[in-house]
Amino acid sequence: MDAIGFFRDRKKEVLSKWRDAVFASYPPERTQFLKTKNDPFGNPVGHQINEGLAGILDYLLGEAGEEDCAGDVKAGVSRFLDAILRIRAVQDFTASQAVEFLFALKDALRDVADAELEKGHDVPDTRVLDRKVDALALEGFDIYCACREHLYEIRVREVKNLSYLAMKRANLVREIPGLEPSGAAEEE
Amino acid sequence: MADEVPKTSEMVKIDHAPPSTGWMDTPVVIRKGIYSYPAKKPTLDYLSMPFGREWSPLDADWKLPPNWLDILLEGMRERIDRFRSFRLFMDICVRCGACADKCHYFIGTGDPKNMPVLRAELLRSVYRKEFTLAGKLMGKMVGARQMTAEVLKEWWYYFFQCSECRRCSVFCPYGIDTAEITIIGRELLNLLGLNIDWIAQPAANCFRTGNHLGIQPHAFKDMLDFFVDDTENITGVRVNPTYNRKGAEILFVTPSGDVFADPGTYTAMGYLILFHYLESLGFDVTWSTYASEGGNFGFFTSHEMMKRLNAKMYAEAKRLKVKWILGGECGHMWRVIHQYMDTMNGPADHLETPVSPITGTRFTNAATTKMVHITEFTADLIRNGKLKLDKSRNDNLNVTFHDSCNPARGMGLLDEPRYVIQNVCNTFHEMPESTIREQTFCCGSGSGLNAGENLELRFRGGMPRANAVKHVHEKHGVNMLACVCAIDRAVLPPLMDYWVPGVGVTGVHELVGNALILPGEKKRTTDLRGEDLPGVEEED
Repeated sequence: MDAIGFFRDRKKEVLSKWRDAVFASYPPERTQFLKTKNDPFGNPVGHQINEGLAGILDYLLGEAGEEDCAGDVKAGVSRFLDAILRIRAVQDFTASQAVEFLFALKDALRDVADAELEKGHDVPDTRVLDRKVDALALEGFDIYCACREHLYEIRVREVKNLSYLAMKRANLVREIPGLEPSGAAEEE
Repeated sequence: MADEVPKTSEMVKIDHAPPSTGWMDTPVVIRKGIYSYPAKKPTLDYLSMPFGREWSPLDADWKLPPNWLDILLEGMRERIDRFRSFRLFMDICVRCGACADKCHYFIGTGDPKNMPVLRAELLRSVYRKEFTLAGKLMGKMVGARQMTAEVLKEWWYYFFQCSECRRCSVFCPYGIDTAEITIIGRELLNLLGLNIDWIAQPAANCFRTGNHLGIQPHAFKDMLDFFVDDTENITGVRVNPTYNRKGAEILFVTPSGDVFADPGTYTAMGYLILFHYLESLGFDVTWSTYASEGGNFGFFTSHEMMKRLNAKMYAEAKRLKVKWILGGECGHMWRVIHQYMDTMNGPADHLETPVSPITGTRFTNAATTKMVHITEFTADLIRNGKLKLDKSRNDNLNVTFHDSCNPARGMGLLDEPRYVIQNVCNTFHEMPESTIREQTFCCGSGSGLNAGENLELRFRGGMPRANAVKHVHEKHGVNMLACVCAIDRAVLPPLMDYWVPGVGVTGVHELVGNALILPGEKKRTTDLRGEDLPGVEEED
């Protein structure tokens, strides 16, 4: 049996288990709020995680619509990974904890498969999906690192601007006229 | 086949859930990226604040004075007697949880101690233990706990994770103002020398030179001279601001961020252009190089410090013998003016109820403070048809408006900035209703939390605001976020850079400066940022 087809039929169960595992990585008081408040503006973190997980699973099971990602399925899934990891990059997670939610998808897939097995049903080999999840996790690491680098770049830029302004304030700076936008206007 | 796959139970069990202990038993973990650096001894000394010392939040020993507990409890007792609101807010919370999910820091961090109710409970639990009979007798059963050095660390960590934005108070059925609890919490911490550097240093600078950055009068004038040159390059008209001019009718006070930090500097150019335009209509204004700061980081320190720093504006107004004060686009300055000034430093009898010299409008809303918000003033000018505007000069901008917390919730300034924007720009879109006006989300960096070292906190806290901007960016193509606060103008650009690349940040009067047609101006080819105006490239 084809693993993709098997899990497509059970997508709702997989998603529910995966969501539970991801939300459980937050403190209990938080989990309740994240899971239950369905408001994209009042609960943006919960909303983006929900949307992101569903989008990633669609991609994994080959169900991402062309219209969802303007024909570029890879870019589509990256967008969902980015939405979740951009948030986790500024929360209280280490790098491994931030990306761990992708591995939790393997557990969710196996749990659903095990339940079917216990009922005596045939279950396909899930390893093909394991490899896809691993690939997603690797991309997730890249995105997480890019988000952290982005943070540091922003911080460096803030410091640079401050020191430049300090010099300007102390009248230590004379800019090259041609480089100034106002200088260009002056020449006209 | 399926047997080859290990069952979940056989796999290494990874526990996703954090330890589940009650909040009182969960010790505080102070993390880098979240806390701001502690205040330094010289700045605290300069402000005559006690117990300045070198210490690190990451050290076990915070070098507290030996009698710190007595000082703290005495400080609490004093404030319970002095502030009826404080005692009331300590007593009446029923922990209904209406505020819990309204805080941008809670939404962004997921840390339960960032729920306004729980943040207040950090202080309330000690209040119960020390100041209520039930708490003394029954302790933890009634939510009371002993004050310890660990609890103090928790206070410090979390009271400097509240931006005093008051969004939670909008939803509290009892009207508890959690910002006031944070204000008292910080005041108590200040009794032990536990301020943060980003607040104490600007407050000390302001006390010394009149503004947060420590700019001396000649440097302040130098910066404005740059803008005069830039404005002339762009418009062909030379504006003539005056400084410390005695006998002027109006004193203009704005946050120093407008003079020293992009993109606020373009807003300052907008003020200069507007003032020049109005000159021939009888507008008589002066800038002050001493009252060179609208902001008031004393507000984030203690009531006394807020009063001290607020007083200088009025002292300068008295010295210059002006009739009233016009205030620039600042955030918390307006909460201080609107809600505290009159009690602290009022009545400002040496001033008159503000009247617009151009339209004759009497600003009775400012009858006691004698200070008018510049968007009220400009909205009145536009409504009376006094400004000649070319909206198309802002046609490259698709604008939305972020209500800054203090002008919105602290003084009810909701419609005037929108009215001005819509009269100087052709394209404007509102963010979703639950994220604007009274319900506006904080920028995540207010109340002195706009330091660099706590960037992660700022970005978590700013996420709900950015999320709403992202929505209008994707739906309507919004590319410019307008606001009326200098802290917003400083912190929203990096926030946008992280969450919604492609959206810039502007003050409202930058947009006014672009659109306003100055008599005798040359054909403008760039906006105030020196960027080509829409259509210029095609003409070339």
